[in-house]
Amino acid sequence: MRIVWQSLVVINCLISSPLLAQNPTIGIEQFDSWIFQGTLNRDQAKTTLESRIDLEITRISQTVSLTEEQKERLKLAGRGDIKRFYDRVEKARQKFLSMGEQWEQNRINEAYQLAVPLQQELRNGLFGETSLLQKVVVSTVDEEQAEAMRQEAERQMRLRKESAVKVFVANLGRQVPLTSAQRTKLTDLLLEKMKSIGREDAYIYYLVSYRLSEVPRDSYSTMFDEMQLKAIDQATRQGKGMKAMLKQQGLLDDEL
Amino acid sequence: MRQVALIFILLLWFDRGVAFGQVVIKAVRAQAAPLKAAAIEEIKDKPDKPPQAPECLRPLINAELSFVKRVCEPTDEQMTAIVEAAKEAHKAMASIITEQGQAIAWRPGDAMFMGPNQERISTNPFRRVREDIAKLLKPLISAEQYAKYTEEAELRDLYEQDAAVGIVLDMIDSRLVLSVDQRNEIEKKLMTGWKELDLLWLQNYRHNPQYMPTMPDQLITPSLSASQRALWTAATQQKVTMYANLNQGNSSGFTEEWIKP
Repeated sequence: MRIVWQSLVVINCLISSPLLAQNPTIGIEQFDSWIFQGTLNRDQAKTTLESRIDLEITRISQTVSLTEEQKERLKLAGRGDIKRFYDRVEKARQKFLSMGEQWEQNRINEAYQLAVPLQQELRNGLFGETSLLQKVVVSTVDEEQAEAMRQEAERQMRLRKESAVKVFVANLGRQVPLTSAQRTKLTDLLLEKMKSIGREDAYIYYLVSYRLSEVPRDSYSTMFDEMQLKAIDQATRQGKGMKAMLKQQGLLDDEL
Repeated sequence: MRQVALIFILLLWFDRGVAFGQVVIKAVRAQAAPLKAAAIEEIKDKPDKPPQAPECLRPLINAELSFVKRVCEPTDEQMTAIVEAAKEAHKAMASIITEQGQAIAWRPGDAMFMGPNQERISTNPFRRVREDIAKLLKPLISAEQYAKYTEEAELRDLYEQDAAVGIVLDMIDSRLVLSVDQRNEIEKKLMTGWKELDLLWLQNYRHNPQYMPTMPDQLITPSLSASQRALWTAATQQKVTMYANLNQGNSSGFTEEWIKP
């Protein structure tokens, strides 16, 4: 495949950020695109979410054997989660529509804040721990199955943590040259300190650097030379500075 | 590039490593023949320019030299010679920066890179820098030092590949739900079979999970069930390619600089 770069047509797609909303006419489509991240419209997102119910059931079936009746109950619960989400979307849309047509910057931000929780919810997945689907799972399986599922959830969590930590350390290593021994020690330290981690991928780097910022410096300072440590200090400062954003994204929900 | 739009995405927050944020999406319909013709016209009759050491690669070279310093522990004399050789190698790297409008070869699954000023980079700059430094090192250090460098560089590559494959597996799993055995099987194949994979490039997809890179299907589909294959076909209909962007800025705080601007 050959690509002729000159032929690229630039489309400004920063529609998911209110910063770009300089145009004072903000319509409901723009509002929807904040929630659905511009790539899906409401109907497409619904279809995708419905297919995710099947994936969730497949995931559960890999751990415990489900009867057709159980699967149907889970499907119904999953549809309930989608309906509840779309009810919240509709409520937010109505609120947005009631905001009128005068769009000064502060009102744009106000409208955007209406969309953010829904955008976040969608990105984190509708079928998490507090979902109807998971509640029905809990009430559907027996003790043995519940234990198998708990172990599977732990395995998934461990994979997510390992993946996040490796990505962070590998990237750090491209900026701050690390020996294999340093990489291994830092990986082990972070795996030990990382608490739960969600399915949200976009902010993982910041989340891990934030977690590193919580680790007492003394516990890793001897691993690195002065020059490396200075750079790691900067990474942890950046991580710390992301706390509000990570909180807003719901990634620090395990914190008190 | 059939009937679907080919969307190019560029993450602009790469500060000598990684950062995420501002996303600019460039899109082109593959059928945009008039634009393509105009672009080909641009390629013609470009006057030759003297090659200049690409500034966007300097941080990568400096990082690699710092890596050399830590894993080989060269003497001051050795390090001076290494830095001098690296300066020459840096100049020779001008060839990987392509001219505006110049077509470059690209195969599905190849990572794609741009410089901070939208310089088009025709090959993986991390790999190119590492390969060039490895070549110039050999005659300048002892066999023991070189063996140490090779060992450490291989371990680093393996770690990065492992991290990148982890991202790919998460992408596949989120769409198909892989069993433990399937995940392990695909992981093994990707670790050895997808050498063009790059961590920075892939993270763009991590940041934009609605998109998927073009993947080497032959490493993935044999491990899938019939229903997963159908889902995979649907999920990979829209071919999306994102460009990793190298930013000149050094926000990492790592200030060791062997080659200065």
